[in-house]
Amino acid sequence: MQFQVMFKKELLENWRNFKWIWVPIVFIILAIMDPITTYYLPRILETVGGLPEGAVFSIPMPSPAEAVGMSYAQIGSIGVLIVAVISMGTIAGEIRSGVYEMILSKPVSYANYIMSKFSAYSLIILLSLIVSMIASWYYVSLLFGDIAFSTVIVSAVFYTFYLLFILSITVVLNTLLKSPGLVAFLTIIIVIALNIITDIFSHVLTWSPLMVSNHTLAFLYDGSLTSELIGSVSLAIIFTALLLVVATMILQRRAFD
Amino acid sequence: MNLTADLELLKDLLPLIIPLVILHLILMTIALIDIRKIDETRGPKYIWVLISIFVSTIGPIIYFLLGRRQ
Amino acid sequence: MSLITVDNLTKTYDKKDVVDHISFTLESGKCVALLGPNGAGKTTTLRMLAGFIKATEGTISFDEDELTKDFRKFVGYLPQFPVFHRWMSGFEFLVYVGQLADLSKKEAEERADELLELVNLKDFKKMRIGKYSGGMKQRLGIAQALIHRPKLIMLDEPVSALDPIGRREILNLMRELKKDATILFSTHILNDAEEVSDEIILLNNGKVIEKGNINDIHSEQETVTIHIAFSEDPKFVMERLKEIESVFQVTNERGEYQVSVHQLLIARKQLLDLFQKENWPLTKFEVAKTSLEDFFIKAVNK
Repeated sequence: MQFQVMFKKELLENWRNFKWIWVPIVFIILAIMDPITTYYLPRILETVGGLPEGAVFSIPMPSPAEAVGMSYAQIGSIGVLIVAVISMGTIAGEIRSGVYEMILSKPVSYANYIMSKFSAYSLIILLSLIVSMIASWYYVSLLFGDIAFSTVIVSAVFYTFYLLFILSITVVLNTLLKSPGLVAFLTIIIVIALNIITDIFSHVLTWSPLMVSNHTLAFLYDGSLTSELIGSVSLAIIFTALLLVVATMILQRRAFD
Repeated sequence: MNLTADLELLKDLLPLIIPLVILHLILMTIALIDIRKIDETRGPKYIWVLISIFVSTIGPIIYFLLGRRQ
Repeated sequence: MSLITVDNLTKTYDKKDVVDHISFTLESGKCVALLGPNGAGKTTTLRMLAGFIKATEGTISFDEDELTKDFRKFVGYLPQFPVFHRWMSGFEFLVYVGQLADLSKKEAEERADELLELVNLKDFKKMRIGKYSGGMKQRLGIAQALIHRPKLIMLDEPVSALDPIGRREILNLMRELKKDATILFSTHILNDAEEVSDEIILLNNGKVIEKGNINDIHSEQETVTIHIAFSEDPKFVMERLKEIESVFQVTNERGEYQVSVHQLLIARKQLLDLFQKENWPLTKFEVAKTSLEDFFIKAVNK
């Protein structure tokens, strides 16, 4: 009951500040940008590039799966940044402004407070990923050839768990820091650091939540559900849950000073 | 420059460009509505209006990411 | 009937007792002022009572329901600087916090309408809170504190940041509220405390230095000074004055005697009797009360 009230409030807030519109649009643009430019680059260069007469210009065209992979590459970098920035002030900002004290003076549970925020942003992220990958599938099918719609959508669902894991890092940082900017900055630093660690030890850390993106691409290429993919997605879900519990505990302790 | 080639390219690009233009227009519109509604922006409001109108697509996104102050 | 009992409540930050073993009882239906200079520990005390921060030591017990640890449902709290979701309307915010306090949506809406009427914000029901003035926000803050009909209303410096008109409005509102609720409010302005409260708890450096009925404190602390002068000083005047039972201090300043007494009526009679009997050439007899203000300053400077 209380969760629903708070969750609805988050949905309404994100509707009024247009996050429900602009975040999916930005994701769509990220997803279709690279496939489109890759396809048209040779022709654009040919027409306006002023290449010397007779110059032969050839760029190998990517396969449809590779083209969809380009979408994920953009979402994996700029999309992650967007996730961090849209959620950077969700708790930190409320604590800093003082609304937090107003809300918490009512019999509100810390877990509901955290979960309502996490759920609301999860929904935006899920929606953004699904619509952007539908757009990606549409353009890729048009320009590069057929790829199964279901494969693309399933890959987007897997990828969502990777972004939710990052969202949960942002939520924890939100409970620790008062500055939203610092929350976003540290989220990015942590993701980069985790990526580097996972890359170095990639042969051992095949189930690392950070490997979800790699395994999703592999799934896209051959359509097989590997144990690595299932394992890393499961670990991502477990870590996300743990981080949310940690965030609740931090908030509880923090309120008790 | 080859005019026919230009036109040909444009014609080919049109189905791809139209959705992008629509997305761009939606972004610009909601950014302008938001700037109008919001109490305060980081920096003067008119700068964000200019950025949202003239910096195609990226402008409104930059506004939503950096310009809002709540 | 006592509503809440605070026993040895202490909050320590960095080894400093911001609130230092304070104890008091709040009677149902009373309006109590937590009075003290800035930094006396008023806000910290209120925040502990609101369940927002945990006490280092001591207990707070609600007589209503001893089993409940979470007494936020019994308490309506207005922070010193109320901040709202600026994108919501006043009505939306009240309904939202009402639902957070376990009201159904319908109940919360009815209650919100009622309260907007009470705090005079009915005409601004649908306006975004971002556009509210300081006084309007303060009134909305009081409304949100009342939304779940709390047993205790706590207001942290409800009037100190307001202009005279806003201050007047809130004090009138508090007078209205105290008819059927228990109010605990903090202030550093004695006048505000005197104006609406039945009792005061005087706090300084985290300690309670005085508490009780505001009239009792008045009369108890009423040391009265009488200024007396004669056209010609009689012999042994100081000694003779000091002999009088109700007089506890006599000083002489520029030919004038300052006689401090406890009970004015008795002292006046005894003094005047003496002057008449001895036929002293009295030229001045003036009674000056020590105000609560003086008492406040004295108590705080102790």
